[in-house]
Amino acid sequence: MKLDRRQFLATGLAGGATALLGGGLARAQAEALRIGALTPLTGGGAVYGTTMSRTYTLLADEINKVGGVAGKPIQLFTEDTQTNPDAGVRGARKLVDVNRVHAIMGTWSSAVTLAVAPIAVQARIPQFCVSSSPVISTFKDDDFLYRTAYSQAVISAVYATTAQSLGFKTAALLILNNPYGIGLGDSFPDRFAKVGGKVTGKVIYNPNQSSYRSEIQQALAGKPDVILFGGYTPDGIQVFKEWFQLGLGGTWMGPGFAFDQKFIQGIGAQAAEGIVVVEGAPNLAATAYKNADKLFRAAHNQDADFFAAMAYDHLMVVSLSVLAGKGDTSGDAIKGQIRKVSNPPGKVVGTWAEAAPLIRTGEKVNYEGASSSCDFDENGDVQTDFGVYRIKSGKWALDRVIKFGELKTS
Amino acid sequence: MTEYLIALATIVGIQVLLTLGLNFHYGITGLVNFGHVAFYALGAYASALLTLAGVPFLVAMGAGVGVAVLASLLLGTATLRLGEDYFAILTLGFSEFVRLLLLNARELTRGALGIPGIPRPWRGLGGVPDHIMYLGLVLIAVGVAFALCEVLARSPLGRTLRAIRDDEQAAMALGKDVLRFRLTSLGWGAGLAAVAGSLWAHYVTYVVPDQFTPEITFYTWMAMIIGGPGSTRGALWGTAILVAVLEGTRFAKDVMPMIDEPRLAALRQVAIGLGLILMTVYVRKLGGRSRPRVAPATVSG
Repeated sequence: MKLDRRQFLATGLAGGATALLGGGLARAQAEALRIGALTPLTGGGAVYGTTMSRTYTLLADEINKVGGVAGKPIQLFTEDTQTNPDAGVRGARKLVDVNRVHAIMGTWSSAVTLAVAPIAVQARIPQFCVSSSPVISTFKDDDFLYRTAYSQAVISAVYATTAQSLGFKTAALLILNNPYGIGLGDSFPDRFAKVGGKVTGKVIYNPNQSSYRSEIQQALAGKPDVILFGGYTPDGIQVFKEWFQLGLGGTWMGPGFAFDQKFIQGIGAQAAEGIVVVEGAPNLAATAYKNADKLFRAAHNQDADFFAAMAYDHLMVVSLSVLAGKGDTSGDAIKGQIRKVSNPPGKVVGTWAEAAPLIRTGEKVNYEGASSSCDFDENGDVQTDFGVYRIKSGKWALDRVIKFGELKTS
Repeated sequence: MTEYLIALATIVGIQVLLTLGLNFHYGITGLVNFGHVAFYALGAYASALLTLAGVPFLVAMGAGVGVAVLASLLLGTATLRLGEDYFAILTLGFSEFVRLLLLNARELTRGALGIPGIPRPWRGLGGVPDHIMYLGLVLIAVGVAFALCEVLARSPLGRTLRAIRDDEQAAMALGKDVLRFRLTSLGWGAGLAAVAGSLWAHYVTYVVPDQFTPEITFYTWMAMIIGGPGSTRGALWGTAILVAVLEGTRFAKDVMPMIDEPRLAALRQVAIGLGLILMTVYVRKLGGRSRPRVAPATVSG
């Protein structure tokens, strides 16, 4: 095959025509509720993005089977952020400009979320993210940016409260150099000081190092009671092993997504004994979670994890908001309904089957989500309850639950 | 759709500036620069930080160019005496060094949190919609850069650079200060990359070190190779094809029958790789001229 310039132009034009036709098709289905699922399907966040993308499909199917939202079927447009801000921006532009979506949901990584947010704000459509950087709370988003994950500012308070309740007086931080780690490193020392604790060392490490020995020794020079770990599973295993070999004392504390089963297998159940795990667990008791779990289990034979639960909440909140707005799919209308359908007061609901009839009769509902109660504050953040676990014989054992209200977040 | 095409044109325009810069380095001078993204990043960050500090856009962009050129001269002085392979490795290292510097100089760059809210210049001026205005700005930059590259390539400077590329020793024998000419070339290309970086920062209004990975460098290489190294027009074509392959696969995906989306995303990555390979093999050298192959001068000992 040898393309000369003319053939090349013809190919380009044909491609362009196909693209235009695609745009025309999107317009022809103007009565649909168009949702842009913008998750990382490749790259570092692929595990989470895949779960989320599949959850959107499952829930959209469920709602479409009973007639859609106010007579409008949900139409999903999926784009891959490749866990990369640039690819995320291009994907978002396509969703907004070509597919004319009414909401964007699923941005993972804070870098991607913050790169995409200006596009959503400019298009005046809501964006739901699962990123944890505190910047997202303060970002000037005209109230279009929401998140169902907890902010690092909140998780710091949770760690501080947990450490205090377990009798730890001094702490050292070993954190990864990314928005999540740095957010933790910035906010934890103050929180811990408020409950009478003291941070004796803080080391920010870079990913993919061959050894973390010097970082560990530097962080633990003050012989802390507790080592707060702010990284992910792969680096966690390596850092933990090196710490273990060094024979330094202290108890490890960190997030559930780092101290998962893979981590416990990686370091061995014996070494893992007693590690404190803090996790914004799915809202297990809520009907929303039960339904999400049922859908996910039926389709993929797996538990719905925290990310599936969050994805379920994104699409539920938007769908309920559109229904409450009598089918108005404009971004401003959706935004105006989000807190009305998801915050108290109102009758507690968790599934489309529970909520839709009530909303149609004009009753006020309070969506109790699968990942949290989904009560959005003025920054678009949710208030999540946390579970504190200790690892016992290779498994998480629930130690206590910390309610959002117990935290001294001010 | 129109907005999308405008967005794509803007992205292509910014990438063209990068490609033109790399073409100056490799296509014209023969410098194997694997760290092009470093100059892009420096331009973006300098321009973003200065604009947020209240400096006017054009001045900030100029400062970004200044920083990048200065960095390129420092890098060049230290490394250009080395052989081609070593220079290539060091430039790659340099780009990672810049990225890690941006990541760790937290007081200045906010590190991994990135800098949100970078203002777009001349927003709403004359009632022209924002995105059209910005495309205009990018097109002006591309036009100026293109003309500049054409003029420079034909100028005595360009001829000397090509002579150095084709036979360093012959150029030296003619009394040319090879190091100084290479430094000049490195500076020009770095400046163009910095303009691209500045335009990108003010376009997406958010910069973070994650954006400046070596991937950008290699996409730029891809664009230049597709267009034909050494050809200024080829840089335009190559970049347009690169972005068409990257973005076109999104639409191919939309008309695919129902395959599980995550699997489709993985397939799309395969399609991008395949598309770029096919383009490189079959469509390259659209710009016409390409690097003449010259047998290396042999010195018999």
